[in-house]
Amino acid sequence: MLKSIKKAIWPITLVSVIIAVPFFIFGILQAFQVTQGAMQEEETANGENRIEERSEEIEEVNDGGHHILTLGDSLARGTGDEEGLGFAGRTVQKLDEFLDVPIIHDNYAVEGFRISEMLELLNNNEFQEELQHTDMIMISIGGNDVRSIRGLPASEWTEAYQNIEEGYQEALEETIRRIREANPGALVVFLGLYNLDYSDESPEETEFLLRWNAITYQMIEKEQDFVWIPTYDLFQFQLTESLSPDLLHPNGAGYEKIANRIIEVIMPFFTD
Amino acid sequence: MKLYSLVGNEVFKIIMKKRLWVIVGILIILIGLFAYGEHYTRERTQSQIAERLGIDDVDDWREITNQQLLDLERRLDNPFIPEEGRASIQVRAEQLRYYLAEDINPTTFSAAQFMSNFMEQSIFLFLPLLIILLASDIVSKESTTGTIKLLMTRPVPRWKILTSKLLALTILEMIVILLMAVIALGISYITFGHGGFREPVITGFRVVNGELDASNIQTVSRGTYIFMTYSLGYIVAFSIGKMALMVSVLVKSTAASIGIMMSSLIGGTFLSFFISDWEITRYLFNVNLRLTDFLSGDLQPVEGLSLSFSIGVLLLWALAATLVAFGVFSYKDILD
Repeated sequence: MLKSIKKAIWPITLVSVIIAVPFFIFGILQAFQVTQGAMQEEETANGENRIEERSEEIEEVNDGGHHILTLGDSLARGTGDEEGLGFAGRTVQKLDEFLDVPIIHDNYAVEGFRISEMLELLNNNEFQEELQHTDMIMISIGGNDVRSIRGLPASEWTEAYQNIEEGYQEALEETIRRIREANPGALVVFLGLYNLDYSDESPEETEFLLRWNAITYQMIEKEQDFVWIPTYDLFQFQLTESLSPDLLHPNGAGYEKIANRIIEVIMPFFTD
Repeated sequence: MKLYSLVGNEVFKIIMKKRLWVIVGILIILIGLFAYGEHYTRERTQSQIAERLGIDDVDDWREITNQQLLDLERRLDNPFIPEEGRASIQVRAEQLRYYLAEDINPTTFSAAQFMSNFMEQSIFLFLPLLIILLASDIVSKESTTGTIKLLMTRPVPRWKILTSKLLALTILEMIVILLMAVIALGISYITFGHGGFREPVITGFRVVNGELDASNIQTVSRGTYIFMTYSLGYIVAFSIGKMALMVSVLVKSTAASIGIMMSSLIGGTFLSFFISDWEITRYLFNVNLRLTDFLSGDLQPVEGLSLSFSIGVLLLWALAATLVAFGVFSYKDILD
C-alpha cells in the first residue's frame, strides 16, 4: 500500500505540472499583453466628435434660447445630490419653469478641481469657442484650494494659507479676464464657500474661510455682471440636514437652498 | 540511467525529505493568519464606516454605490475631460456596475481578491524564502551526508546528475506555486465566503519615460488577474531556485547555503534603497522581484524598469547561476 503511494508520487507530480504549464504560459502572455498593449486611438476621436456635435446643437438653440455653462469642482458637478442635479442642475430646472425658451446646460465641472485646473480648461482653445455662445456661467471653485492646508501641521497653516491665497487671487483675476475676453456679455454667478466645521472647534479655519470669501466677494463684485452668492449662512444652523452622507458635499436639500438663492438673484437678468 | 528516472528519483527524494511538507505547513499557518487578519480588519472598517455615516446597516452600500456610479457616468458626458481621466472613469464605472449587478458590497473581501493580494505581497520576500528553503540543500545535503560520493561512483556523468536535480527543482518550484494557489483558495473561501472571480480588476498601466502612464488602463477579470500574478510568481521562483542551486553547489553545508541566499536576498533589497539613484541597482535581482507591481500600477523604487526588462534580468541571473553551477560541479574535487 505504502509502496504504491510512493511509486505514484513522481507520476502525479509530473502530470499536475504538465497540466499547469499551459495556464502559466497563458498568465505570462496576458501579463505582457496588458502591460505593453497597443494604444487605443478611437477614444480620442470620440471626444472630439462630441465637442463638435455639441457646438452645433448650441448654435441651433442660441437664436432665442439660452445656453448655460457650469464650471468648477464637485459642488458644481452636484456630488452628493440624490437626484444628481446639484445646485447648477436645480437652478436650470427652475429657470426652465419660469422661462418659455429652450435652455441648454453644459456642466464641465470635475470633482477635486482647483482653480489652477479650471484655468487650464479656460485656456483651451476649443473651450474658448464654447464660452462665446454662453449666456450664463455658474462657477464653484476654491474649496479644494483652501482645504489643501488641512494636510499640514497646524503650526504651518497661516503661512500656507497666505501662499494659497496669493496664488488664488492671481488665478481668479486671470479667470475673470479669460471669461470677459471670450464673452463680454454673459452673466457670471460665483458661489461662496460654506464651512464644513460648524460642529468642530476650529476658529482658525473659520477665520481663513471668511477671509477667503471676503476677498472673492470684492474681486467678483467689481466686475460688470458678475455676482457672488454667499452660502455660508445657508448651512450655519442646519448642517446635518443639508449635508450628504460623506459629510462634505450638500445633499439634495442643501443644493435646493443654494439654487433658490441663485434664482432669486438672477431672475431679473433673464426677465428684463 | 535515463534522465527521466533520475529526475523522478530527485523529485521523490525532495518530497520524502519532508522539506516540501514544512513549506505546506508554513503556508497553511501564514495564510490562515493573513486571512483572519484581513477578515478582522474589514469587519472593523465596515462598522467604523457605518458609525461615521450614522447608519445601522451597512446594506446601504447599494445606495452609495449607485450614487458614485451616477456621478461617474455624468462626468463622462464632459468632453473636456482629458483622455487619461476618461479611461480611468470608465474602468471605475465598470467595477461599480459589476458590484451592483452581482449584489456584492464593494467593501467586503472576496476569496479571489485574497488570492491575488497574497501573491502580490509575497512575491518579493516570502515566496523567495520558500524557494530558498526548498532548494538550498539540494546538492549541499549530499555533501553533508556524504551520499555525494556514492552518486559519483555510479556510471552516470556528473552533468546528468546536476541536470536531474535542476529539472526536479524546476518542477517543484511550480508545485510550490500551485500549493500556494490551492491553499490560499481553500482557506480564503472558508473565511470570506464568496469567490468573486469575475470581478473586474483595473490593470494595464505602462511605464513611459520613467512615469506611470494610465491612458491605456483596462479591466480584466479577477480570475485572469490571478493567473497573471501566479505566473509571474513562477518566474521569480524559477530564478531564485537556480541561484539557490548554485550556492548549494558552491558551499558544503546546508545552513551556510540558506544563510548566503537569505542575506543576499534581504541585503540586496536594502542596498537598492540606499543607492537607488545609482543606475547599476536596476540589474540587481532584488529590485526586479516585484513583477506584479507592473500589473497593479504601484510605482517602482527604481526608475527605468518595465515588465520585460525585469523578467529579462531575472532570467539572466538564472542562466548565469546555472552556468556557474554546472562549471563548478563538473570539475570540483570531492574530498573528505
